[in-house]
Amino acid sequence: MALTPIWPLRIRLIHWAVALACILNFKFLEDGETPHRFVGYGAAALVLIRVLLGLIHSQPEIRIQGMVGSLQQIPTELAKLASKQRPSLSRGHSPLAAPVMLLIWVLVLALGVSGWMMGLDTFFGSETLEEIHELFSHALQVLILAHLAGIAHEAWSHRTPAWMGMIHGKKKTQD
Amino acid sequence: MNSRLHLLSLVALILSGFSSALPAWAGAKCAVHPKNEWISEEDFKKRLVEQGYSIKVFKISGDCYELYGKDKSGQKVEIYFDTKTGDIVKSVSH
Repeated sequence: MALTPIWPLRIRLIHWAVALACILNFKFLEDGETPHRFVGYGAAALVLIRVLLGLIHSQPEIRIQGMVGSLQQIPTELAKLASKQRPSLSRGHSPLAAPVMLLIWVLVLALGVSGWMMGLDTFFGSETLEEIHELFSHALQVLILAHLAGIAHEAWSHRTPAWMGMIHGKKKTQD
Repeated sequence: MNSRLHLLSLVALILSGFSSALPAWAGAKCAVHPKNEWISEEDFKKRLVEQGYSIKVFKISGDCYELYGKDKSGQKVEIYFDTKTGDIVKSVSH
């Protein structure tokens, strides 16, 4: 089965830039320092662009509307997962992937906002806000693991290099 | 089969990278001193104010004293101090 081109270059660039920003901020940059803050703002800005593309883009796979619409197929997909059937192939995000992506976007934005708030006079030194920011960070890491698990599951069950969708932009859309 | 193994090892590699990121430690590593050798919180805060700092939050953070506040010039500062010597261990840029 031939692969279908789905993800345009700008989507893939945003994906890898945000992925890189996450790795840097989770693992390499000291919490709270200037580089950490600007990498975080950069990631939030890119996610904001992605969300805007999701609202105005002409291609249905990129639109948030379609992702939200696919949420009603979640029970069916979960049932397939439980009975060890292969997941459905989608042109865009699969119904189980859509909520993971949406939550990842929400969390990157929430991290940007809560991080910015930590520097405001009112909240400077606030332990509560620091804990909220950390909670968002841990939730994001869990979701990224879910994202990777989903990619691995699709790749395994459909014998397709699913991760290549974010490299050359093409994916297997039917068996 | 071979590609499955590759996939598995890739996933394992990525997972191990993330799991080691989870207990990321924010803060500073200060020398450990027995409590009776610590400068008391009261005295420490007094000294900070004398040095021109204004204190927003002052707390024990691991083995350090930690200050959130402003320096003489009104610049926001987050500083970790040695609890016995009062030396600055780490200053976070804000």
